[in-house]
Amino acid sequence: MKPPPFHYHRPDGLDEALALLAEPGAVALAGGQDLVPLLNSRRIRPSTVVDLGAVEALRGITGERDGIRLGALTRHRDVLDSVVVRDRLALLHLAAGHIGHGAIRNRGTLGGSCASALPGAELPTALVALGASMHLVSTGGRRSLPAATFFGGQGFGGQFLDGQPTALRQGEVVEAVTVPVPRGGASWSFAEHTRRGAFKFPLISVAVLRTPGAVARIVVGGGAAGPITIEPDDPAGPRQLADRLALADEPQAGRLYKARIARSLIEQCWRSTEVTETP
Amino acid sequence: MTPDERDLACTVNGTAVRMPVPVRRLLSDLLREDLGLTALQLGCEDGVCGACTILLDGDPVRACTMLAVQADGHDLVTLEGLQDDPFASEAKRAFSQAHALQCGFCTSGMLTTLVGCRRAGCDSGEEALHELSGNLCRCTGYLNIRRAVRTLWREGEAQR
Amino acid sequence: MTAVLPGQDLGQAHVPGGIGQSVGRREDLRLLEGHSTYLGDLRFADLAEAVFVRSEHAHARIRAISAEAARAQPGVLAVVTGHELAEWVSPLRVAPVIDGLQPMSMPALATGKVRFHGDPVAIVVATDRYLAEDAAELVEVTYEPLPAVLDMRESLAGTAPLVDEALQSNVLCDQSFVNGNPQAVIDVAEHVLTVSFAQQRQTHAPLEPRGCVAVWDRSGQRLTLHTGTQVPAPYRTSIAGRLGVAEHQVKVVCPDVGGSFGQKLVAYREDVAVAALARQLGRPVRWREDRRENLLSALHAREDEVDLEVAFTSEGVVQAVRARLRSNFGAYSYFPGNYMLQVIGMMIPGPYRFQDFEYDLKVLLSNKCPAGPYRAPMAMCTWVTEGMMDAVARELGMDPVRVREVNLLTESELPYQSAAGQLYEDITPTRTFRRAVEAFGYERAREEQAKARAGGRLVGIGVASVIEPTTYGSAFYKLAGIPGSGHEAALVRIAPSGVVSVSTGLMSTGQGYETMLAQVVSEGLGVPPATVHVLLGDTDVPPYGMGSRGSRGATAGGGVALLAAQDLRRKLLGIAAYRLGIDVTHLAVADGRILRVDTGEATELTVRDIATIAYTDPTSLPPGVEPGLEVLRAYDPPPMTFSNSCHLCRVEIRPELGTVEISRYVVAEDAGQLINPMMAEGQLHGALALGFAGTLQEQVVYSPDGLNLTDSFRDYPFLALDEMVGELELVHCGTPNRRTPGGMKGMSEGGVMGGIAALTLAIQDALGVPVDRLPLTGERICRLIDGIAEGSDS
Repeated sequence: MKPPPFHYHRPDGLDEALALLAEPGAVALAGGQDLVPLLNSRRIRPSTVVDLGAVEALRGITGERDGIRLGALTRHRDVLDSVVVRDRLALLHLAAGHIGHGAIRNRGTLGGSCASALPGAELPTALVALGASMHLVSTGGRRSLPAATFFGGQGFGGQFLDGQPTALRQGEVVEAVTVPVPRGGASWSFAEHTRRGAFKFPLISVAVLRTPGAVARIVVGGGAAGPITIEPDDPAGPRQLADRLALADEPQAGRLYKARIARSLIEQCWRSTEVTETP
Repeated sequence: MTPDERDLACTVNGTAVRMPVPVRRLLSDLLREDLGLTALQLGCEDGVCGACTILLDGDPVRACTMLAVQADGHDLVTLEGLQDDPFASEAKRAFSQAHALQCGFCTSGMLTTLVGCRRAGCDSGEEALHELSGNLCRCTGYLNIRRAVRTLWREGEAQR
Repeated sequence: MTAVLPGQDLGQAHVPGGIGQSVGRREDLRLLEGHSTYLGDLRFADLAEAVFVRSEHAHARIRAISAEAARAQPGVLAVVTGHELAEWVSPLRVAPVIDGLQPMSMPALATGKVRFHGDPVAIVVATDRYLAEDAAELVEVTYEPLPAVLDMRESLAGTAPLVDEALQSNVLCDQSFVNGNPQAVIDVAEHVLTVSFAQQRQTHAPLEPRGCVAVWDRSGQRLTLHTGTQVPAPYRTSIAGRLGVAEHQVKVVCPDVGGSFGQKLVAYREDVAVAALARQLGRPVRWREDRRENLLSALHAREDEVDLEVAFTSEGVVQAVRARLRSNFGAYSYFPGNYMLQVIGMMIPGPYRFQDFEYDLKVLLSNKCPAGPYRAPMAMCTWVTEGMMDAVARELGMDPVRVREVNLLTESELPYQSAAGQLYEDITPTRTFRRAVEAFGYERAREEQAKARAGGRLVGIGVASVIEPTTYGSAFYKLAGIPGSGHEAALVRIAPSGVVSVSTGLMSTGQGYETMLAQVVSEGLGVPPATVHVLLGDTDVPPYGMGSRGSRGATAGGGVALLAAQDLRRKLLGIAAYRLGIDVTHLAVADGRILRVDTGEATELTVRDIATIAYTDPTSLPPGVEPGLEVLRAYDPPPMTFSNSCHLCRVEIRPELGTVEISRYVVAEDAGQLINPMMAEGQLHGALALGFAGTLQEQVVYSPDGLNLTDSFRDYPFLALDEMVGELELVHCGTPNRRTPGGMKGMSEGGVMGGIAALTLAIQDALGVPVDRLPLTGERICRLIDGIAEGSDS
């Protein structure tokens, strides 16, 4: 279990990084928590690994007019340590706290987690619930997508061309994410059920955000379709949930079991949130 | 230096290291094979078992899920570098007294994780155990590891 | 809580740090400081690295192998296929003369066809591991896929393709046993029930995978094999045979070993290939198995099924049992086919009185990884026996504890020959049962359970008594038709300087044998344990012992070391008596000095003085006494020694998720004289964890076409710290075995046996429906709650 040969670059500037990533067979390396295991097992064989670690433009957590902007290289640990995130995006703080263990959170990044978009991953579920915008960049320019669109759950029928888990195109990376701050009186909850063993990767993750005067968002992650949003009074039973999430059977958890877990977590999250309607 | 090597400059256990490394070389292999720091072990090379845990800028990370070149500019500490660390010494004593190790293969990763927890200000044994549940052990059934960690944090409390 | 009993025939007061004391482990210092030397930590000049090309098919004919591209890669020293390797090494032939068992051969690397996902087909040796992996990818194997057999039922029905064309069928072993006339009893019984049990395939997953470093010394024509094996001496015999060299041409040296659990018992095909390549290339070759290889192709275990019929009276007295045992053995024999399954059959009677008993067992080949013994290979037997008792209780509406009481052997009935022909002596099943039930507060726990249930909570209690076969003597193997010896040997020596050393055939893979043997020798000899040097795992150092397996470490290994030390003490005292002119019965050894028993005062002689005489002044020895202070002893234990225990478990299930919380766990255990209670308790913890892991989650899963889907720790759900029970309440009951040195019985597997049984039965009790299949994953528990059949999608 050793990585195959590849070329490696560690550019300082974003433009240089994007130029390198425009080449076919190039992959971006952020914290490496998903990518390096794939290299070790040789399940991927990139021609070039572009290490984004030195690109300062991808770092930082800043308050902006329309929300909090988090650079793609923001580590899960940084999300947890950030006072701004804790005070103003408590749901994101809560979700990041569920990720793996300290050793994973100390390396893993927001951008990496979003680009891998492994089914059930905490941050995609939370970002969809929060209505975040994903800022993507490539040599071709910049574009922004709602998180729900980026992760493919809705609007794309749960599928992207060539089986990619997200809307990222060849040569494109996540530059930053902007997360709107929930209005006063909002309440939120996050819950997950992990697979057994040490890795603690979620089988299902659920985020709920209830905002006064707005439709509550209940987001469920865990399937190939990416996190999906369901309505509070959605009667979807396990079978419908399993279909909508495109849940897959796996050795210790069939799709209907996962859907059952999802229902249970939704109820748990719903019960733990409430909205104070202000006139 | 061949095109697929790159200069690495980092600090390992307080000593500056400057050397060319193949770009695909894992940090765990650099430390074990090239620098002879064999306290960390390879149990899965998949980032799961925790036997290769080291401290990067003071924080626990898995050496098997980092390329060595990613360590450029960073400060690395392995169990060998914690010889004089008072908390590490206490942890070793607590592990031995509680019989919290059998084959010992996971122990370096466990101790390093605990040192990281303590440095991060983890203030209860339960919180430390939560972190430690990312480190696998096949021999002890974890009960004595729990006892050791609780003792360690209780004693730390008493001293403060 | 710990009852420390005096060892037998020790003839003198306990030595500080000797038998029965929880002294700290001498291994800890190096392991905690990171100074351990596991295989991968060893350094060799000019070391080459081996990797294996493995089958990605479950079953396929090898049409061609093209290694040219791989050989042309930079750094590549050799690429060798199965046919090429077969010229240098012989296959492993497992052909014991056992009725109903087909002999089987296994080449070092697959030739002709591959038989499971992970079957090694070629070895690549290069100057660097990364380069070796690059080259291995370029070895082109052309396969012609064949239909694979995965399910035992297909082989039983005779409809499956042959796994091994040299055999007549996939039934590797077909045996039966009968005592009394169970059929006649069943025919007239008041009650007869059928109960089924199926256990899933699991694997050992020691945190350190397998591996070896082979070094061929051209001038000495000798191979040194560095490898972490449990059984250095038999391993050497095996490797020498496979390579076709004399035994003295192979030296096996064991570094520190990162766990084994039965997975490091044999000379693996990979080891043989690496040794052959080191010899061919004339340079050291290392193979460090990676986790994927370990999960695909090391050894698997426990894929067993038992169906039984039980006849019983309306009072709950079990009268007769008829059992059908099946095991999915995988693609090759590393062990005789009956090696594991027969012990399950043999232990089904457990601590119970019934005599009319029969079983038949069938061991079936399949296109899966070969099976082998995994810590407590017979573990399932306890679930089977205790599950049967619960089925009887359910049928009669009796309390499970009451049913057990009416069937349990009492101490006054011993010695007792079990229905399977095992001689039970010096066991205390009633005692451990009562102590556990009492410590658990059983009646109160049932009342609390009733209240919880009334409130809609799923709370359950499980009880399981364990008879743990610990030490297998040679007579057992002979009777079972399995070749091999149960003996162990020890060499205890006092050097001229007075330094004491001990070596045995045991090899520690985490158990702490260095500490344990020092305690035993210290006790036997009368010297402080710190002065006893322990040397294990080097076949150039005598003696030849059978190594570590089962729970034999204490009784066989500790026992023989104690005997040798006692012999040596007798020699010491004989010399002292002669020198001092005092009758030998008036002398003792303590703390390295010779004492007068009557006054307790030290004489002028120390152990060191006597050593000096024995080596440098033999004419001053008593007439007829040989120079030197060395004792080599061998010891063959009784056919079988047993420990016993009783486990009680309380669980609560969250019905919405199907998750299980173990809220209480009590064990009362009688493992005889414990050498180091702290370490014994540690062994119990580890064993329980493996039992829980197998009950709740760990499972090797193959796809319908035979590909292993659990080839990483992301997929193989290795039990983690937060998944282990919170605390264990342990009651030690130490009743010495009167037939073993020091009264030792051994332990370390009973925790797995009781763990599976007590936990499974507690879950069954909580659910209120029979559980006939493991593991009890969240999904399966939800299905049981909902009453949905296995495999149906609703």
